[in-house]
Amino acid sequence: MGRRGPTQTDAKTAAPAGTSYSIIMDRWPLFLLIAVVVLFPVVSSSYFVTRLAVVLSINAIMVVGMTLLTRYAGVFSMGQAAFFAIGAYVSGVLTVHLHLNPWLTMAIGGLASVFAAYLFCAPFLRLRAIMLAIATLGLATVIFIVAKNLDDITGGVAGMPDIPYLSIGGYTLGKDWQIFYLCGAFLIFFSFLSDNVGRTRLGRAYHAIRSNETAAMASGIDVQRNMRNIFCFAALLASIAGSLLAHFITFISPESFRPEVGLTLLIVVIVGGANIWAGLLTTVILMGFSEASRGFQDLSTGLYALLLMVIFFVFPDGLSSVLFNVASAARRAGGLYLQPQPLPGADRPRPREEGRIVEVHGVCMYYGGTAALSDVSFSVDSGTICGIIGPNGAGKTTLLNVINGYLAPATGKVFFRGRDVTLKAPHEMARLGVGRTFQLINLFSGMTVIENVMVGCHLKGKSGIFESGLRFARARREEHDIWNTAAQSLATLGLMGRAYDIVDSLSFGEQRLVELARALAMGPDLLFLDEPAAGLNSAEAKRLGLTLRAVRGKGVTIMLVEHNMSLVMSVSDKVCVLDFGRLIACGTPEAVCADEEVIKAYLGPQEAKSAS
Amino acid sequence: MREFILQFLASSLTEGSIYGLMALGLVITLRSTEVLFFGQGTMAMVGGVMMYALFAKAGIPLVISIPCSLVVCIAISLLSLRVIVLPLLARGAPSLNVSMVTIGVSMIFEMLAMMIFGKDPLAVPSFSGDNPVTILGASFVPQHFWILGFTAFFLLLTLVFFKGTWMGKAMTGLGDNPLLAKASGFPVSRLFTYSFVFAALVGGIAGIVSAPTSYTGYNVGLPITLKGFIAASVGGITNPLGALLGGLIIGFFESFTAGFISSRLKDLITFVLLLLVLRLRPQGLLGSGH
Repeated sequence: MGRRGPTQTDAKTAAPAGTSYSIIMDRWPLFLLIAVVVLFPVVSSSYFVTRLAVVLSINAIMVVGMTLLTRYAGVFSMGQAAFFAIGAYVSGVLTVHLHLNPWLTMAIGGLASVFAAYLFCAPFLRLRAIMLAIATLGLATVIFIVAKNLDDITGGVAGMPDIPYLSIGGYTLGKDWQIFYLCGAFLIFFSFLSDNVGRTRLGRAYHAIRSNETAAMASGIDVQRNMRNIFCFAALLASIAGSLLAHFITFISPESFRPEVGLTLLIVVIVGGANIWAGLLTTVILMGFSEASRGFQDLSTGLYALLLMVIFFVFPDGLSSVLFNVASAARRAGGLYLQPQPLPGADRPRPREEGRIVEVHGVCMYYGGTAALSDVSFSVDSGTICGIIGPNGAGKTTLLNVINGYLAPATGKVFFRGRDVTLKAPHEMARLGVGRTFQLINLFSGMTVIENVMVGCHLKGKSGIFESGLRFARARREEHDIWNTAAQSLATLGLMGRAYDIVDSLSFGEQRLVELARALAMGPDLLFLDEPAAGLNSAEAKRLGLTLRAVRGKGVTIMLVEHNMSLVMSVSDKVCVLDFGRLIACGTPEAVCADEEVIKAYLGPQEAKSAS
Repeated sequence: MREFILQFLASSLTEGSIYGLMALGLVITLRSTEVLFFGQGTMAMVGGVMMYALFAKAGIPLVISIPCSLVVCIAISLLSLRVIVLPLLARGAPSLNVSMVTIGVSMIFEMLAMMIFGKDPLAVPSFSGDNPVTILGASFVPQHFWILGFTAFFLLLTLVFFKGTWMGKAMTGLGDNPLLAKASGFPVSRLFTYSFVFAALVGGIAGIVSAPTSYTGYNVGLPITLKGFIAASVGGITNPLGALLGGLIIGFFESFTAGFISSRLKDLITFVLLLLVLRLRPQGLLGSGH
């Protein structure tokens, strides 16, 4: 690389994020939050302001979870009030009626919320976003009405008094400033955790799910599972916030958990944008404003609405888009001078596998009445390049989608290394070692180039929300490996110079290469390439041919759908020809070129006759 | 007993018609802009309070006060479209985000209405007297006929629009791809305008005709929007007929619960019904595939 980078030893010790630039610059919002929380009760002299701060920090805990859920993963929940209520009522009921320890009831409430969220996800998470939102609102309303009408247990509309304060080792947290410190500690903890989740592997996965579900699946991300986990996480935070509220006011009534509460929170999260700290700031601005303007009584909601619309108008992507660009620019500058380290064992060719890696038996596929694939059977040997050609609409992409798991064939079977994978989902295929690029580019817009490629390394990590949120050693190591693999993959394709550019700013040809880099970063055994040369000029296409050969040289099998004949014929070990969903020829490039039926399919029967 | 059941059906029909009208407006704007317009209920609120001002207070005859109220509704609807919805969509804000921001629109008009009309519920007299008419043993208040008549009228209007006009057919065919629509020379902004005018009409009428049977006031908007949305989800969010049907179903179950179980559980039944439908038939009863 032409860029003057750090010396080799520097590069070896440099971590991808965190050490090459000042930790203050990276973490300033966290330090700011800690400072504010610590100093606030000292500065605040008024009873009203301290209580307001407690209410805000309780709401902020919910906002933190919802930011990950809504602005990262794209799940709109209007119903966080449901879990807020579950946390508060479980805490309230169990401490008042059964005299359990408040800390224990907080934990039980959290478990109950996670359980409720889990049950809710099974049928409803598959709905389209807007219907899911209304379903969550339904859940919140049902919980609200139940709380209002179970008079014997919840106290009904009259509410439930005499909930005990929390205490630590016999020391009761009953004063407002004590409760503020407690809520502040929870808030700092969860902000730190969620911020870390947001900027590492899971955060990238959520972003990927929101911006391009198809490509996320191809990268091995289990979309449903990840959405469910983050939904449960947001529910847990809402529930803890509910418990804190119950033990702070020591009285709860259904009015605090009206379904509208969830709507207000969702608006805060949308105005905040895809950043935990921006979410916190918005909570303070919007909710603080609306609480503080209670003095105006009637006008407060209207003024609140006006304020939120002004903010949203000036920053349609949320406050985060202006406030935190500076920080990420610094991060980019830091990352640019890092060099990927050679991966241990990456240069070693993998042991050459013998036999067939893919077998397709009698696959049929229909779109309406049209047969997109009829009775297609063939196999691909391990470590070879198999070209799939055919006129437009011949079923080439459909064939890839069937093998890849995006489509289930009407009849027939697909085997991968002798295993029946006919009904496997795309993310399961990725787990088995299948990489994929798409005919129409499927990248994650809004992310940098290297983040896009890092999504391809999703399966290299195993750590969950808490492990990566708390930066356990394993999570940090995984993150380092993922960065390294991605950078290596980009360097191979000559794209390292653009690693920290937003992917949308790249040219079409470069975007194709980023997609290829993402697929290669998965370290696949089998690679599906759908028209990788489309939109490339002839020099670029030639370079692509060399890259493909090099990839095959490492023992990777490639299935290539392509219209660029000189590319296909020069790199393929075997070429299969599809026409109107039928496999009309399969063999070496030379044999296929000479095949009469192939000539007919490409030139039409008339021309074929005159040509011969 | 027969009278009782008929009575009960009659009230559920009128209640359901109002929900159905709200759902109809939501479906039309959702289809054209992909934005769930939370201002829909604001139209009903504005229609109601305008009737209070013009008809109940100033004593202006119906033939003038109803059109005047509707004009105000249309003005507010188009204002929301031009000032909030279109500019935000044009700046690339995702439609779901814009949907949430339209809650703000409804809040602002709520505040204005409260400043003008106060916080108390407002009563509007019936349009044509209170002498009940007895049909098959069930007594109908004349106001019920106003509600049913206008619902039927808008049902017809919707059918004519979608089956009989070029724009309606185009809207069905284009589905949800505004970019493609724009590229193929379709007058998208005119479509947006039409759909928001339509939404204002159905919303306004729902508020106007229901004002005498129930109180109106600054805060009736958001709850009725949600009811309309539930009705649309139950009936099929892509299908205007489904929306009306959903309204009738919700109206039926609400009256049933209120009449036979407990009025406190009215909303519970509605939402349980919603969750059931979403579970068993996510596209709604009359909704299409996706």
